[in-house]
Amino acid sequence: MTSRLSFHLGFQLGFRHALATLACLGLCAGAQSAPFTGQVATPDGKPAFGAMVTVFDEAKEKRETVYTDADGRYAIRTAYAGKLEVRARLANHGDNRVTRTAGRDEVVRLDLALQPFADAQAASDALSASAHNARLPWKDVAGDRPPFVSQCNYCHQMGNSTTRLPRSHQAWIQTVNKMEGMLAMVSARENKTLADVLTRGFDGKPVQAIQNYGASAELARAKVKEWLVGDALSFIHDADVARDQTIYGTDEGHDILCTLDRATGKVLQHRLPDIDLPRGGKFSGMQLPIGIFSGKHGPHSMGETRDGRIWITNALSSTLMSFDPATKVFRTYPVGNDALYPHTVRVDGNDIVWFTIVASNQMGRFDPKTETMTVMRLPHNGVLRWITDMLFPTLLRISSWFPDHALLLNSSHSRFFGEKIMAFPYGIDINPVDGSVWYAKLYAHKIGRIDPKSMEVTEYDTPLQGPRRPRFDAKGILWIPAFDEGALMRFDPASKAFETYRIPAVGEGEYETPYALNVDRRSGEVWMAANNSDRVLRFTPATRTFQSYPSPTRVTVLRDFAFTADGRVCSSSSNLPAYAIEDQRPSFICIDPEGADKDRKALAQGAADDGDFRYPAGEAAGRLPGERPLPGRRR
Amino acid sequence: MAGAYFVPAACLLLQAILLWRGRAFRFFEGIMLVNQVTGVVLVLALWLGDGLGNLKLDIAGVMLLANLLCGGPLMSLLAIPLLGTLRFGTDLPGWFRAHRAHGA
Repeated sequence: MTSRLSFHLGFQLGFRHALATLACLGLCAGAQSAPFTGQVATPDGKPAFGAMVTVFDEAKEKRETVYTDADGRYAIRTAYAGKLEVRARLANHGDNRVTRTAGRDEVVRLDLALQPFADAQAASDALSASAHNARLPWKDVAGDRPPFVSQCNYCHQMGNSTTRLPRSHQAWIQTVNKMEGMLAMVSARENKTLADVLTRGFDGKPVQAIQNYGASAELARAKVKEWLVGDALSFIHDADVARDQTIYGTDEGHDILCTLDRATGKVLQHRLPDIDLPRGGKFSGMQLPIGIFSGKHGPHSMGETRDGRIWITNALSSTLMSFDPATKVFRTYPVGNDALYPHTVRVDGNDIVWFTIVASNQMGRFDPKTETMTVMRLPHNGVLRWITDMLFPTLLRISSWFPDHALLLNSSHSRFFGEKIMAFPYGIDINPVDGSVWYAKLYAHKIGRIDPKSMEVTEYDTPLQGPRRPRFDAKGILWIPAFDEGALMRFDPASKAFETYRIPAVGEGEYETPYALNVDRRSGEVWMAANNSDRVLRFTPATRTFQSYPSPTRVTVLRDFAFTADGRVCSSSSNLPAYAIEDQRPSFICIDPEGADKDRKALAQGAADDGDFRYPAGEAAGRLPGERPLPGRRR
Repeated sequence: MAGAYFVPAACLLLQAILLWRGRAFRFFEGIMLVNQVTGVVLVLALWLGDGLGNLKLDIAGVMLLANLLCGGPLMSLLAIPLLGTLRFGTDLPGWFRAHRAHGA
């Protein structure tokens, strides 16, 4: 009986294994079909260096992008087949879109010419938000612009197609008031200044700018993949890569946890369990725009413990939540202690879950083994912030008696002092060297260290303002994005010394808003968001240089980064609201710094096999068969 | 505009008028007593009220609103010497009595 059972099981397992292998072979073959090769030229016939060639799948739910080299050449393998749209895009030029029917494993030769803009308005519309907001007429840039950068760029771009719409002075006052109802902190004087400048600056007239996204040979090695997810009102705040390589995304707008299987492109949605709170959770008293923050939990950030559970900070319900990928079961843990807006979460080496609590200036610590929640107050950083720490939960409670009216603003001293009334412990990370917990206070312009055993807190002033979401490298160096000042900071906990690096802008007078970063601990390179200009930056500490990766999609706002085991850096595109994004939907986005190189080599290898595609002798980078130099090509 | 600040400001103005004119002694004293009581309960609720659960912030909210209605934190500070003078001194009660007698 036992042997028959063993044989039966063995046969079943063997059969299943064979099926799985066949399926994998099919998948793997299909995964890299429909290759395109060719050259991209500027309207005057010169090779377009750094142009993005994007192939969309037939359903327009996914796309892959490579960048052209100095000769305008590209090669891309995609998983798509059928009637596919291919788009060439480069700053300062009009797009070229063509549709080609591509079969599996059928190499399509496609040369593309970028188009001249039809008129000045078309050229202006193609510019990033950074070009538009760089033209705002500040009377005192040093004095008046910082609140704009800090508060108006806080959650979304200012200057994209939806936020640069011409409005009257009164309409801008109402808009800024509405933003205050979503926790923007501007004084009454700043409110008037903003309305005045935005009324005069965003007048609907076309803007002229030349932008340089820094084309390079390194850029031409990269490949970007994007998967659309959610709807026009989704808010996929953070993305994270689990150990099993599933990409998770928190939809803060709809109380949904999304997962992406990169191999199949399949996106699943897991709805968070209901909770006995009104829409907006503990923030129901704020002014919540319909459709955004329509949930009660507001899932925000994620971390993973060694048992595979995903830990989620629920900003609106002030809860910590676990998700078991095996059983798909959520468990909710109230944070208590008048905590408001649990924010960024990280897991330390002992599987302790740490998270910042941004609006009540606290730090949370949760031990999943004992299910013990500890909440500690962080230093108040002055009388104004002490008043906020003491009274904000009570004022928010009073406001919640009258939902959606943001009544607490009528008694907020932010109307006098702006953002200075809050400390805002925001990003957090664990030092891999000693296990200490470090956080960044966005509005108090400090970083702090917590000893995980004694819970002793030490804070340091940052040399630049707006420390947002920092991360450690493998050697215990803390890298901090300075959001308000468009720079990167390096802090050595041993010497307590800071170094700062200005982020290069893409155009004259433009600035950058680095929201988050992460350090690839294998290479030590820092990947960071550049949300004002639709790009991702890679900083190499050894050479102190930035490499720019322009996003294929206009209005790209990224809030966190995670790395896959195969060397890709991933994030979620989450401008608020999502309908302002070019696709009018959020997406997961992954950059493979060597993806295009792999495609070129694979195609060349395939060519060697069938004698059709072969690198000409002496060309290391490899020109693909059938390619001819473009006129004006640089040699 | 932080309009809610007008509420304690109006109360402070009313108290100043009552004090200046020496009128409505009981009302004048009552406002300060309510201000003190709500202020103390507010502090106690925020300090020690974790065991009350959601009720903690409801109690604190009511106390904060009542405190603001009765002059807010500035009144709380001013009320300490004023109530002391009313309770243990003779000049201020005499001031109100004199005006009451004059009014009568």
